[in-house]
Amino acid sequence: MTGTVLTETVFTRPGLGKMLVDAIEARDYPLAQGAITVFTMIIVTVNLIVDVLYAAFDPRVAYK
Amino acid sequence: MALTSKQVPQTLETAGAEPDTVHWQLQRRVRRWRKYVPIALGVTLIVLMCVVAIMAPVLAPFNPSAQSSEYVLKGPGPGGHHLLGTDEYGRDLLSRIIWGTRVSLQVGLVSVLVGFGLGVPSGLMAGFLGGTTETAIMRLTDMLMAFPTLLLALLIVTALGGSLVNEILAIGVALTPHFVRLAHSLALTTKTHDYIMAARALGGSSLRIMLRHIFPNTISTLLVVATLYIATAIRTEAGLSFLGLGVLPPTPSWGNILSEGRQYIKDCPWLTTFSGLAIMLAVLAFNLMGDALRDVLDPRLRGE
Repeated sequence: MTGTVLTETVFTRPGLGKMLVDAIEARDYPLAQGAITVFTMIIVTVNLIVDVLYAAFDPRVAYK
Repeated sequence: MALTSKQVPQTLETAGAEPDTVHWQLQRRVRRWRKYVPIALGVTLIVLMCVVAIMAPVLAPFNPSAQSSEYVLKGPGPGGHHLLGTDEYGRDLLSRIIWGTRVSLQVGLVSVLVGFGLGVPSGLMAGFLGGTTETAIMRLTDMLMAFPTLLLALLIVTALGGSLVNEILAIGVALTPHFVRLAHSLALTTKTHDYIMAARALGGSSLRIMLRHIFPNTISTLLVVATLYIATAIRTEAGLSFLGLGVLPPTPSWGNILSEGRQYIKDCPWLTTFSGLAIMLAVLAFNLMGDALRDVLDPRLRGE
């Protein structure tokens, strides 16, 4: 996810990463806060899904 | 392909033995030295970078901020003695990269020191003391770990403004949760050893046990990880400078040069190429050094 911030800036693809960078450059703090919150929510959700899938696929790793 | 009776070794002594000719001796020597190549390469690069950073005022052929209207956007070569070319303001690229080494090394080393200094004591305390302390510290760490490193550093630099010290603080704080988690797990495993129980029985206070028994046993792993995180810190610093949030121009930083050269990449590729190469070599050097340290200090970790 961190790479998207740099990649979108390099290739000028309109995306969440570029929005974040533009918000920071324009000192638009609420927009930057919101973008970082969305980023973090995506990462946490994906980590949760991965952990649950881990337990589903590998019987040794089971929730007590 | 089955061996014929002529190829099967006849005696036990000659089975598997290599002929002791000069050719085989050379091959054995080459094989023995080949495993030290990555270590030697990493250490050489790091020493070279440190020397370049310290001797920057002496080594750089031109002043990195000296603009010149004659040699604008010239390619590398003997034109005006600019070895790596110039940028759009006529500043010499080689001098800028040499001065950029200073910034990158400073940020890389000091931010890891900050992260180490903040994170390791907290992690050791959390692991050893347990209970409420552990829960509090680990919940805080989990909260910070939810952010990717670059984003957390971005957040802090936005709040504080871009400068060298703010960058160091930001990356240091962004690396702290990694150190806390590592120190915590190491303290948990070290706590179960018998000599800790013996130290307790002899009347050792918690602080004394942590300082004199747990910390020295965990320091080899922590050192290896710290070296690898220097590479991450240098990369994050380049990323921050690339986005314009690191050291402010005209102070040269590899990320700054990379970002400025992006506009001219089709006609003047040397700007981005050489600064990118510098970043790559620095990260490579510290990665090699970290791997070498790991092999030297803790062979059990090999192959992770």
